[in-house]
Amino acid sequence: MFDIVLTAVREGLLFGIMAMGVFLTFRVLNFADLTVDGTFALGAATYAAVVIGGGSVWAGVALALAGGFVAGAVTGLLHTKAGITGLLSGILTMIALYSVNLRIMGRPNIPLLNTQGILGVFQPFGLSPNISAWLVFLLFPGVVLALLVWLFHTQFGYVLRATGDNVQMVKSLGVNPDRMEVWGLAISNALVSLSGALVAQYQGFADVGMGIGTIVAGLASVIIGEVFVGARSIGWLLAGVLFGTFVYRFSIGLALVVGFEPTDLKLLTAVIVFLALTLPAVRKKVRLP
Amino acid sequence: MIEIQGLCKTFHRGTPDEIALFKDFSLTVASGDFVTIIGSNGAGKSTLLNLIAGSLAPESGRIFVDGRDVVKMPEHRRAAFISRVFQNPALGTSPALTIEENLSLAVNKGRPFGLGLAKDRRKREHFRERLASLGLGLENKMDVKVGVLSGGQRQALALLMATEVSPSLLLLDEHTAALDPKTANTIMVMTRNLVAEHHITTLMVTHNMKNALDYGNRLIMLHQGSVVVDVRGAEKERLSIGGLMEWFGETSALSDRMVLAEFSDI
Ligand SMILES: Nc1ncnc2c1ncn2[C@@H]1O[C@H](COP(=O)(O)OP(=O)(O)OP(=O)(O)O)[C@@H](O)[C@H]1O
Ligand SMILES: [Mg+2]
Repeated sequence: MFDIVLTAVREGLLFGIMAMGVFLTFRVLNFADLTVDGTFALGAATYAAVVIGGGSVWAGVALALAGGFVAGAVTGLLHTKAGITGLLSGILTMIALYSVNLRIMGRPNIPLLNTQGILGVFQPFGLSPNISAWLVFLLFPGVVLALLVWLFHTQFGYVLRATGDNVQMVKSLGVNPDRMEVWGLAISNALVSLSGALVAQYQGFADVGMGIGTIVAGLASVIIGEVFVGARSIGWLLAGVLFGTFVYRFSIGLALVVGFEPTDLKLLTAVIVFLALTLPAVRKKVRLP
Repeated sequence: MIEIQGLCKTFHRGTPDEIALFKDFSLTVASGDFVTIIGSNGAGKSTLLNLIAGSLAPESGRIFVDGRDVVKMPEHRRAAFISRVFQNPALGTSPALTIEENLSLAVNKGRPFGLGLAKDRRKREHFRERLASLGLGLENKMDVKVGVLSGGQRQALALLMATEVSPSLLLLDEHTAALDPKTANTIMVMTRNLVAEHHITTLMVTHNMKNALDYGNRLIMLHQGSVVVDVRGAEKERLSIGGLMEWFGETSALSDRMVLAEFSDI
């Protein structure tokens, strides 16, 4: 049992970065962005290709971030400049990324088993592999959380928040809402891609199919987080997303223990999202605080 | 100063539903004028405001605001010097942000929104004073999300935000129509005070004849995309609601040309 919890904590932290990215598009921008299924794998592919090719792990992480940023911007431009619906814009980029990811990797799967990679970056300071990995698990989501909280309190962040619920007001401020949307999608997908890179190292491989269902898992985490945190400040909401990711990963872990096959997980995820989506309604009905 | 020259706007062009609303429309408004605009449903009042603000593009014609030709400018660029308050209170504020957060956006209108922290102690005091001057108690709700405010409170805030950075032109489209009579009156008085305080050139569309008479120094009546009545100053002071209602009746009964001829006798 303790093992399941510990695994869920680790995975909650790494996938939590992705979920915070989904929070940015889904909750702040009000945009259901399917690009993330492609960018999660893009991050993994980029990172793995760099590390296997002899590049530094930091270069791998930086390129993963940059790649996700560009992919998100492409979806934003498809939506705002080409006038394609938001949902379809995301799907187009996601499908295109499948080919891009295969190109980057050169094959469908790259094993990363014989390297500690990014998880080992603190070992040179005399720390054990395990401690070093835990520092990475905590450091990355922590820094992302702090940066997002800061961003949402800047003038730029306020306009980003306004973009999701009142485009007319953003225009009234003299700001081009299209540009804000592109920025938001780019930042979100950069985070999702970073998460993909870290998860690839954590599982010991990058796979071209590993992004499938990312949006659903992200939504599950975001919504579960909201059930626990409720309507509070943006910092609390983001922390809630991390906690929601933990709860989600924990339920997945539990499902495996009670005898479900790994191949059943997508179905289970869909059921969890269904429950999570209906739960807030239940919460309202039973008038929990 | 606003100058509109040869403005043409047609809807549903080339279809059986084609409406040639504005045909060579011209209008000049002097700086500091407060113009009330009346006219029956579909007369083109909202369309005129949309064309000036840039949410609609004309087929031809020029629009100058303080000497700047704005026709080619996207809406968000014009917003740097043209402020609007809509009939729908939801359009002027962001419900997800608090009163203070909304105001701290408005105070930076037309300038770049960078990575500096948005909240600022000194600004907070300034906002508190401005909110207090409304007399609605909003100064005690600065950390409340705007989404939970009433329509009237939101409209008051929207008006404050529209004038936080004093614009060259203020466009008001039935901005009290969704409010109860008492709140509508509060917002109207507030409008007059803000416009006077900042000497803002203002166009106000209204269906309330009393407001059209009581406020502003010039009154325009639109009908089928044309100005059929244009009175100002002392002449406007002498108008009565009965007289206005008569005009409304006549515009629907007579052709534009006859109406114009008749009005020129007044
Ligand atoms: N975006 C649009 N597309 C098509 N037709 C439009 C559009 N906007 C306005 N119209 C048409 O232009 C005419 C004038 O409409 P407008 O909204 O300007 O009238 P109004 O004077 O504001 O009326 P009201 O008093 O009802 O608000 C109407 O016939 C309307 O159907
Ligand atoms: Mg109208």
